[in-house]
Amino acid sequence: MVDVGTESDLLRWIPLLPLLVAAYHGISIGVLRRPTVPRVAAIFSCAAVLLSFVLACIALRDLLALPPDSRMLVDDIYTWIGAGIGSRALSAEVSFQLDPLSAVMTLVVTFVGSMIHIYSIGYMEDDHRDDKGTQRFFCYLNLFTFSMLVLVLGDNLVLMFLGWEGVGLCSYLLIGFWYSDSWNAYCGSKAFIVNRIGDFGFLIGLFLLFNALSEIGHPAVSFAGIQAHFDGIVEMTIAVPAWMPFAPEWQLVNVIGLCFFLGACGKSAQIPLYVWLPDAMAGPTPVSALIHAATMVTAGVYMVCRLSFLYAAAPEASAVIAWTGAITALVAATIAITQNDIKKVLAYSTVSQLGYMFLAAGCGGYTAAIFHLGTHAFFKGLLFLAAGAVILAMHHEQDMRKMGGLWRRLRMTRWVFFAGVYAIAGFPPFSGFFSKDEILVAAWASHVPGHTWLYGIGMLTAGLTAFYMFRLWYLTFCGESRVPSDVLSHVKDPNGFVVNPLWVLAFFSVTAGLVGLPQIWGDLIGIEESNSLANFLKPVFAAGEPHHIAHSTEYWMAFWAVAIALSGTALAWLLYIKKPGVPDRIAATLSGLYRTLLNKYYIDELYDAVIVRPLVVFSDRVLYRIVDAGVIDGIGANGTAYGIRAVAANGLKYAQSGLAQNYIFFMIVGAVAIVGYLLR
Amino acid sequence: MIPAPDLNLSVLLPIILVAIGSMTILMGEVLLSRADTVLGREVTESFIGTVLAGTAIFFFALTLWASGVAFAGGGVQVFNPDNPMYQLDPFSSFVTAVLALSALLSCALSITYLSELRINHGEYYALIMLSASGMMLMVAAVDLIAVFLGLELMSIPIYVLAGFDRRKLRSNESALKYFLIGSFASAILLYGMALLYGVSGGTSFEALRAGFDADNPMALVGLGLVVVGFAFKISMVPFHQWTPDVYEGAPSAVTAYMSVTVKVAAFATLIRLLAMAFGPLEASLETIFWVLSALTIVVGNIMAIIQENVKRMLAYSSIAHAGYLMIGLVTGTIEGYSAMIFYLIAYTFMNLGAFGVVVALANRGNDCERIASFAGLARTRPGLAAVMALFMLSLAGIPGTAGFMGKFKIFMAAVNSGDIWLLIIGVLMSVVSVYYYLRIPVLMYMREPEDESHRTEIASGEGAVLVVCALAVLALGLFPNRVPTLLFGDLDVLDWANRSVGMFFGG
Amino acid sequence: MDQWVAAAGFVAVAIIVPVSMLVGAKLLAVTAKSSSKLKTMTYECGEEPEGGAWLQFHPRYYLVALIFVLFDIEAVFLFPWALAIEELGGLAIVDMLIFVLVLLLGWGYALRKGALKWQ
Repeated sequence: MVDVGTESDLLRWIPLLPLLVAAYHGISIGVLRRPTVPRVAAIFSCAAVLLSFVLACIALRDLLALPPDSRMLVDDIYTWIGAGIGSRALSAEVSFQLDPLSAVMTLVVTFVGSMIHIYSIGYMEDDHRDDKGTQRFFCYLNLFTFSMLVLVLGDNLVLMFLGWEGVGLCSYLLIGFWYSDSWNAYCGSKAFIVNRIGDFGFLIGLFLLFNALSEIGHPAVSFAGIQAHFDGIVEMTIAVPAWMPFAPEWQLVNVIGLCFFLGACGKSAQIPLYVWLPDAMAGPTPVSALIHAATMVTAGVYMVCRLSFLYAAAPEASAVIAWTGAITALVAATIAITQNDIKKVLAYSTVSQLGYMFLAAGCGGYTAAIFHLGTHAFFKGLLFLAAGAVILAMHHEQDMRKMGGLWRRLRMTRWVFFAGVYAIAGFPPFSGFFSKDEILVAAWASHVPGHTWLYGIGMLTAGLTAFYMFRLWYLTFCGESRVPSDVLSHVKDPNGFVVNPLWVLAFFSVTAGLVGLPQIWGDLIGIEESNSLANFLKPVFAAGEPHHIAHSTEYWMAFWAVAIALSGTALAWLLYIKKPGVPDRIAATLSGLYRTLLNKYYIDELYDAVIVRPLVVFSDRVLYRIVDAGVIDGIGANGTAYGIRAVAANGLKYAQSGLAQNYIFFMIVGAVAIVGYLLR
Repeated sequence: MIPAPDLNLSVLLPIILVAIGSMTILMGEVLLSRADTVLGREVTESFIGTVLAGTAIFFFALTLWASGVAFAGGGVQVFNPDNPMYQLDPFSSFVTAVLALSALLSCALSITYLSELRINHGEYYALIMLSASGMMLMVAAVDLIAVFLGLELMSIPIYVLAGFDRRKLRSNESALKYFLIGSFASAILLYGMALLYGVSGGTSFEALRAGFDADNPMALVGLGLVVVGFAFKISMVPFHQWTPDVYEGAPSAVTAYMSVTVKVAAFATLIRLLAMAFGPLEASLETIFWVLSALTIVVGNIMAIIQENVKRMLAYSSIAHAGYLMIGLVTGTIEGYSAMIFYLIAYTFMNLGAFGVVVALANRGNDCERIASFAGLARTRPGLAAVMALFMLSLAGIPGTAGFMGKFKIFMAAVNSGDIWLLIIGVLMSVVSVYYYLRIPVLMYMREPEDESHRTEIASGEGAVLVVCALAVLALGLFPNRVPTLLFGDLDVLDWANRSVGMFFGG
Repeated sequence: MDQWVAAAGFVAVAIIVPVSMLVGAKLLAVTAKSSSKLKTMTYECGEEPEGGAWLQFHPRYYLVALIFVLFDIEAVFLFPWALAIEELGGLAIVDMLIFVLVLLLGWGYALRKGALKWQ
């Protein structure tokens, strides 16, 4: 039997607390229709998430007390879905598990989550668009936290899928939070629909995996169960028709891996399903920070890492992941260069950074992916929140062309923003430097075809990242102020609820890299086993055998990474501070390229023309008007109904004459028929 | 000296109790009516009504208890071993208990209704008890003569009851029609019995079974005519046409009573006849029942759609339910019979409940009749509207209600015995039935009230019956094999149904 | 085959009797012209009819007749019982007492309800 971990009843409370508070909010707005005072409601929510964080810390302490090889806490609550028998028996438990990977994710989600909850108190304070808005907002936010925690703590794929769908739902609700603006509602729908495409892949992968495991007699959906019997299905293949590529057989694990990756593409905004994330910025800024930067979008990365044993056995699928990640990183970075909306830049930056994580995961650097996931959660959460502070200060102005020179006005925000920019640009010793370095090393050392190219793309993207982040920085905080003077006089740092969490996040953005300090730096300052994160996570991940890289090479790689970041920064300084007119001239000279980038490679338009429009036309003209309204409603439903009524009203009614002799006549006919049949 | 037969009076105990009850009520009515010189007419009537209804309820409760004890004891007792006419066995005692319970609920339902309609005569309860005793005789009978005796004892008081509101033309018409056609059906039944007796040389079920010759046309004619006689009582198509007229004309409380108990008694007797007497003829009867069942389901449901009178609609609905019940007869398996018994119990509660709401709305001599008058009931009478909606959902067979569980059991039995087409007809027509059942909740909850003629307060008797029925419908729908009660622990109704018909299958 | 004959015979008799009655009535009935005054006149044997034939009878006729039938049947049961009482023993007396008591109750009810009052 699969080795189960240590029992711990504590785990269930980590997701349950936010759920309870969400339920409270839901009941008080939806059922009782008596909204709680906004500030009180907000404090409940924050308390729940903070308490979850405390519980997560306690659970982490318990986990660390165990020997490294058996670090696993489980909390089996009840059997959720029990179906089938024998080799097809499906038993999905509501059961939580905390292993090092879940622990890291849980801590990130609850910690960054609580910071953003606190920030939201201040941010949502002046939202008067809807009288129960604040409580509704916190209800969704807590529901999201619950779903995300179920996702990372669930010990089986089905429960994970529940969380997966839950975060998708909350994302939809929160993007369209200000639903009275139809654009916001449209963006919410777009996010939801694009995600559904990915979820479809997730489900197919789940079905294939379960089916394969049933065939070898070990039906399982729990991660432990799948891993225990996984060897049995590695060699399986699927026969495909000859006209398909790589016919006649596909290796099953590759197919499963790609299906799951399709799910990850949807949730984590990778090519080709990344289009929803930039539009998701329509939601309130704390939502962008929590869901669309720090936590939900990293669910795909988490899933790939969680299934590392599967991807380790599926090299082709891993290569696809690595290349998809690399290309996404590069494409999103190039788009980010041209965007003028401060949140849009950050959104494309998020897509790009997520590409980095997939690049790492595809190259087998699961630790690096999770490391970057963690540091990214801090600095991108910070950047979004800081951007939110700027937006608040600017009275909901998001266009960077109308900012500039805020350095003197936002005296606190500027420092935390600066920390975030430094971290993401990858300057030592900020956290982004170490995690990005890890990824580049992993790419260099991997066996993925063309891994040196992957390294090159990574370096190029690093340069672009530094460039567009400093572009953002210079446009917003430095140079001449382009803010209208009447607004400028009101620009000041927002209140304490907004600013204080920024300091906390800034602190971690700067220092979080130290938990995963690569050994080469540990050697420099004389610490053994300096990469404590990697050691902590090691038992979870499938061990690969990457190429060996000499320490000297690693130093050189770090050097070049810093160098390229510096050159990106310098270029940004040159273009936006030293010679502010140059960018426009470049844009004019390369107008074709510029417009392509500004319009995000016209991907939205392409999808619209190739997929959305034909689908809408088909579903309206054919499915709705002909099939549904015509055949099903017209002939099927209404036709039958009218037909039956007509039969009853016009035919059978006359048989019911009300005259006793007629009744007796029918009885005699019936009796004769019965006796006649018996005598046949 | 002729030796006295070794009679076992305890076999007839439930029936004797009911008969004594009916005589007590008759005498009580006569004696108490003298009180009007002291108390005045109005007070006396309501006083007498309450006391007599209480007496009826008391005796039915005794009967329920006696038959319940007999059922718990199990075993088969014969009234007269030399000439077995009646026997007390798990089947008869269980059905008797169901009959006693539904009669009890009907009595509780009638108290206020009778005085609202100003037909508050004590004979009402006596007649109900007499007909109930007839039903109980019928289900305990193992002899054709006894069956016929029971059938007539059941029918004649009901003819009278149907015309109980004698000032109303409809009620008179109802009684006369029922009586005429009923006598006709009785004659057919009796003729069939005579032929069967002629063939087998005996009237007991045992003799029938032994002397039955399936190739003998006379036996077949007799069998066919007996089936027709029962088909009339359970209103199978084409022997159903009296049903809507009679149900509509009879006072609502009487309709509630007869729509439930007559069906239970007649179906139970049919089961016993088939299982004990006509076993060898299963194959040829199966086709007949198949066709009757399909016809009944289709015609009952379709005709119900166009009704504008709630009592007529419920009449057609009861025809349709008889069709579903008939599926159990088609299967002829223990599963089918036990499903029928369960369905009958479920039907008892939901139909009594539905008519109970109609009864509770009757006001100042007027029955609540038009379906349209239910509009906006949720606004004016939220409690009644809620239980009515529940009963309608249950009659339609929505999951979570007793109606669903009954249909499910019946359809399951049909699947297991291979009657797939009958099942398909049943399911399709269930969908049709949703249309007319849900009309009432839609009217109650989504329309503005317009009809002011309803009674505005509910009597305690009616309230109690509705609550009991609603709880039973929910309990049987949610956990049919462990209905929770406060006093008696959990009740396993499914197991009871199985045990009651199990005796026919050597169980 | 003879069984078929028997069955057919029964069915035939059941059909023939009512049909022959109806047909006979049709054949034997004296038909008069519609204009004739005699057609609507009630038939009385050798008497001039007084009033219409559809006159209402008072329900107490039926009541008395019904109660008479009841006690008539009681007598039918009593005679064989009386003949066999010596051989049946004491229990038979109790049985018959119960039977008569039930009938007496009915009689009392009818009396109290005024069914036998002839005014």
